[in-house]
Amino acid sequence: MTQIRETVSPVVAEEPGWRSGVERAARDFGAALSETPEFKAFERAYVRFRDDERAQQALRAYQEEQRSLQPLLMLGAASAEQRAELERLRQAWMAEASVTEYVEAQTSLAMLSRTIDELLSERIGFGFAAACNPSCCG
Amino acid sequence: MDAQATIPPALRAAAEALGASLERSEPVAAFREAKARLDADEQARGMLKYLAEADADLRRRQAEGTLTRADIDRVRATQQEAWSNPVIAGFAEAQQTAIGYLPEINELISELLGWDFAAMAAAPSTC
Repeated sequence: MTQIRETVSPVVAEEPGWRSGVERAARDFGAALSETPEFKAFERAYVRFRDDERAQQALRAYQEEQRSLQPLLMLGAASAEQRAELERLRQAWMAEASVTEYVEAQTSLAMLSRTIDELLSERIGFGFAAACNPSCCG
Repeated sequence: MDAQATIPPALRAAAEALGASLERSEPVAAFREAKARLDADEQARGMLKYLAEADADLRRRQAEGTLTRADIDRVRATQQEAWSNPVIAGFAEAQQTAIGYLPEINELISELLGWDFAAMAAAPSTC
């Protein structure tokens, strides 16, 4: 025990203090966020969307069409009819009630998360979420 | 400007506590000190400004197709000069360390939620 104390530098010896403090605060924050109406609505909407076979089928139809058209879309060579069919499938999927509810819940939670991120970022002096997602949207 | 959500009091208190805790953490405290040193150093700030302008000029010339070997060498020399400045190098290192630490904290938050908090916060509405 004494030997360890003698060989550990003061900086390393202090690390567990601030580390455990931040970790505890992060867990408390996560727990508080999970208690918000936005989070609970998002969870409910996600489960409803996941279990909605009609919505899942509409999503699969849209994704399959998107995958098959991807090479043409990337080259800008898809015809107007092909693009219209893709858009029709997207609209059909988005029109499902469980999808609308899920998108709305996600939007609300994202807005709350962004507002908190601004608060955290202001405190630490740089973007919290940006630091964790360096490649988001290029 | 993005719309702001209303943060419930309990969540605001938890977020403030996390922010304060992060502020006191070694990587973030070191970053803030390095940033303060950079902000106070006129020569280092001038060097970074010049580097940013030289870089923008290089990109413009590249887009125009007028880029020369001499342009590239000039920007490289400016970069080397900037990174050999102890204040700039210290800032860059502290920034990397702080940026490297935050994903660990996001992981802790996200584990509890079942989704990536930072990804949700960073996602633009058009993404």
